[in-house]
Amino acid sequence: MHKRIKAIAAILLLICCFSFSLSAHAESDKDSSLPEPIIWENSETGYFVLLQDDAELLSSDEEAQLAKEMRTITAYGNAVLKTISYNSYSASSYAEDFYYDIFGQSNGTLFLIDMDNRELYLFNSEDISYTITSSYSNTITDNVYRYASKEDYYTCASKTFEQVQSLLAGRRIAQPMKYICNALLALILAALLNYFVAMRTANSAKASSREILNAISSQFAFTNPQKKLTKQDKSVRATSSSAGHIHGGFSGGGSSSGRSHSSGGGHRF
Amino acid sequence: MYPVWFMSYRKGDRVAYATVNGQTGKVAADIPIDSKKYILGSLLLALPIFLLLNFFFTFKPNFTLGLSAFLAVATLIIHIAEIRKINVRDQRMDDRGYLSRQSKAAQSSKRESSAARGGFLGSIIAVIAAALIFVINPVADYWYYAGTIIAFIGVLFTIIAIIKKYNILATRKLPQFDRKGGDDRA
Repeated sequence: MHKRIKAIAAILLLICCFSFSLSAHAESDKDSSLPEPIIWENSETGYFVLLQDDAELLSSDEEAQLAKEMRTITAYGNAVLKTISYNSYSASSYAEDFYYDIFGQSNGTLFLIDMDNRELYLFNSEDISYTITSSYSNTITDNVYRYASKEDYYTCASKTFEQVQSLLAGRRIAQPMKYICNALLALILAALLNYFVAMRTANSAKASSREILNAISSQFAFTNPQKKLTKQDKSVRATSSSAGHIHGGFSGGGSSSGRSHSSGGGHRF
Repeated sequence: MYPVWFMSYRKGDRVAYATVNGQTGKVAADIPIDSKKYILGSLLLALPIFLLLNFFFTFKPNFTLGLSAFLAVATLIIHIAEIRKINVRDQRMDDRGYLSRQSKAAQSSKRESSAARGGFLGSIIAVIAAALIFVINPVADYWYYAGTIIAFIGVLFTIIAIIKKYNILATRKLPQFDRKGGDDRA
């Protein structure tokens, strides 16, 4: 009896040890696949800072510094930084889905660094999207993409949130992309427009054929006009002898197939 | 109709003519276009267009390159149409009375000799450069800016080629007073 109790206790101990080792292994797996996100809540506004570096592009010091910098945005909405190494969708749809899944339809901005598509994407929700429009989002990502190309992801994210903050505070940001593109397009459009204006003004007005004919006709003088019948012919056209055929009187078009209908008619006299 | 005033303007070895209807004051003339003034005017015109674009649009570099390539194609089409029009006038193809006096052989040789060459190359190079950049699909913006600058130069080159051709038609050779028989085109 005593031996049996000992055996049961040993089995239970083994099961406990096995289950503990399994849970510890699972825990370690979880840690390695998904780093702990940094979450901070602004108690005044109720908006969050969420920094989730799944692609592990930032050091822990950089994450902490960045989260601190992102706090200023929580006066206007949620501030989210997400980095991913795998994405089967486009960066835009991933960013949109991720934001709405976590925060729903609330004010916020999300900066996504998508390493799979090699794309930066700035998504803005609700009221913030009226201030940071798609044009501004394109401008901001264009201003910072060089840092990401140099693998300086901290500066890339930091500069992004800095510009977001500037716009939300009513300040202006540099827009070199906008000005360069517009300047180049303005030059091409001006060259074409000026060409049309120059050709329009350089060409002299040419008399139209009607004007020339009118001028010529005034030089003709019709004196003693006469009308003479010189020849008269009569032609007879043989008609078909088959019954039921009606010639003429057709106008319009269509068929009886049902796709469209025909209309019209005629009358013999 | 009378009086009719005839005027001429000489530049280099070419001369342009103008006529004025003495009764109505209406002036008829083919005015040559100065390429330098055209470029200067285009640069000045670019300023209000730039300001206007800034009010409404923020284009991305790849879109800008696509649009400039489209404008280069449009310039190419304009070049073809304008040169055809100028050639019709140059060879008097709209003057049936003149054509009836010319032999067919003379007409064909003249048509070949006066065909415009080279001007369309600017736009074609611009389109090829844009297509290459789109195929390579580089990340950096300056590739797209460079492509757009090439498109601008190409468009300008093509337009100036049209203007040069037009200027030849708008002006005439100086009358050769020593030459017997005269120049019926002068």
